[in-house]
Amino acid sequence: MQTKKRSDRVGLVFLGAATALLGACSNTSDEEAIEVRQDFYASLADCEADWGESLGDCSAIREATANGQLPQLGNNDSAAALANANPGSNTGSNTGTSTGSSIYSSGSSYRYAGPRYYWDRLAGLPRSIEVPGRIYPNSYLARGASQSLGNTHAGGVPAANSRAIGHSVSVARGGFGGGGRGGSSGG
Amino acid sequence: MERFAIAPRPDHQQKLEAQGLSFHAWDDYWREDACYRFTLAQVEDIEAATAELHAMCKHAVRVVVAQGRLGQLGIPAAMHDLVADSLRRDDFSLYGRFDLAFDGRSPPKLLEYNADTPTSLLESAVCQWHWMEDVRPGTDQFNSLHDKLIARWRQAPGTGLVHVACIKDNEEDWVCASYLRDTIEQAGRPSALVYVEDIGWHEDSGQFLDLDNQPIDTLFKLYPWEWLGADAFAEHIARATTCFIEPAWKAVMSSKGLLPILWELYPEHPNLLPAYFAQSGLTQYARKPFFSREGANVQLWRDAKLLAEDTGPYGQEGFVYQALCLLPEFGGHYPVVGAWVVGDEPAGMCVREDISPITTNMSHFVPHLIED
Repeated sequence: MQTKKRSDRVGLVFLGAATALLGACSNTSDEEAIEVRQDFYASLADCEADWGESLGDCSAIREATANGQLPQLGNNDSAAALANANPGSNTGSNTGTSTGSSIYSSGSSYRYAGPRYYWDRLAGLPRSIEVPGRIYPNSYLARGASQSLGNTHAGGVPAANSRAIGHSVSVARGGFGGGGRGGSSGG
Repeated sequence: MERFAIAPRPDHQQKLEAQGLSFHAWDDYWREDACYRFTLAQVEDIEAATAELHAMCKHAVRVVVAQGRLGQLGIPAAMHDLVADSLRRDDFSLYGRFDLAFDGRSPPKLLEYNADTPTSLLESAVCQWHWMEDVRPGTDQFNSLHDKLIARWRQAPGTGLVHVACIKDNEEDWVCASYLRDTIEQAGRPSALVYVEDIGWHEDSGQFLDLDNQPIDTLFKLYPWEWLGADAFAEHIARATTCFIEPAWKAVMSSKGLLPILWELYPEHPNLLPAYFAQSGLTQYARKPFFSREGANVQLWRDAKLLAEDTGPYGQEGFVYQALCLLPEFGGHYPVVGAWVVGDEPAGMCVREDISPITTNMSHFVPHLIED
């Protein structure tokens, strides 16, 4: 008796439905690496002055520890999980993708964190990482000084018109994909 | 082996779209007004050749690494340790696809091995299977891809979320990636899509992250190693805890530089064509860039006359020269047999045909049957 060379049954669980999602795309530029940023404040008022009150994106955070360990961020549980998952690393040190003032390593006290965001070059505004579709037209970055972000892009201090006392870039993005422009990756 | 005309299913467009093959009509990619018929003996020839060629390729990869010849195959120096380490660990591999020249009479001849990022997967595993069920219920097809992919995912390392990455704005890749997610889910693992461009790096923890900042522990990447190795984040790969699928040793297997190595190790093998790193006296040959895809930058030469060529961005990495083996012609169509491997086993085949002897990204997918 001949052995069949075929699958007995071929069923899909979600692929057909998923094709309806085709066309969804990001409006970030693929030409530029994006960096996720977050600003830190001494007071809620300062944070809300930079980001606005209505969206509730300013949240309290614990103080940095004496050895500079990354504090638990009120709106960033995954960052805390990462820090906890890797206790051997000095997550507070101001190295690698963590840039800006040395608030972690100095053990400085800070109490409020603004939203985690990246700079959407097409919109010309900061865009939320946490909330899809949320942009910040009333943020300090949008108030006539958005170009200043370009000056801090490489890890400088917060913009001059900000009340932030610190600034971090927690995750670097855009470091893969350079080879994929203009064609399929498959063959 | 025969190509014959057959009536298309009247509702085939809706069926293909329901199965997720959203691009079936692009340049008439999916054609079911014809199909290829193979005898069981022919399929068994292809199956046996596939198994043997895969084993030979694995041996050749080990030889290349052991003899320090990665650079000769166009693998950047920065990737050499990654490749060697992944080979030493025998890192998990999911699948690959040989492209074979086959006329139904002579032994199948290896043209190349898409071992790192093969596509045409959904149409091979799912669409042609359902086509067969509709037009020839009860017949057979060399196609256990779907079963074997699911079974293979059950052997993958880890137990948690599998991230599947493809580049943005490429529908074919998105469809292939989404089908793979389907097989992952059916294997009992959760899956998530992340675009290659969105992958993040968290320096302090040494982890790649998705857009939700979830660590990427297991990453299937429909993005070739030679591109990964040239990207800015390449420097993080060795340090990261991420398990990459396909593994780095597939970079060697997918380089056309492996073709001369195979000929060196297995001269006169019936499933190989003579291949060299230089023209070496060949008068009839295909010149292929190490990392070309879909026929790009391939040239066919005979007696100093260029027979056919396709344009593209490849070639700076170097070329191999493979003895010319023109694809068989079936009424003005030139089919190439794609022979699938899942894990280390043959798992099915597909036929793509072109009106040129170089199979390109404009080729057509034509389903097949086994009938004696």
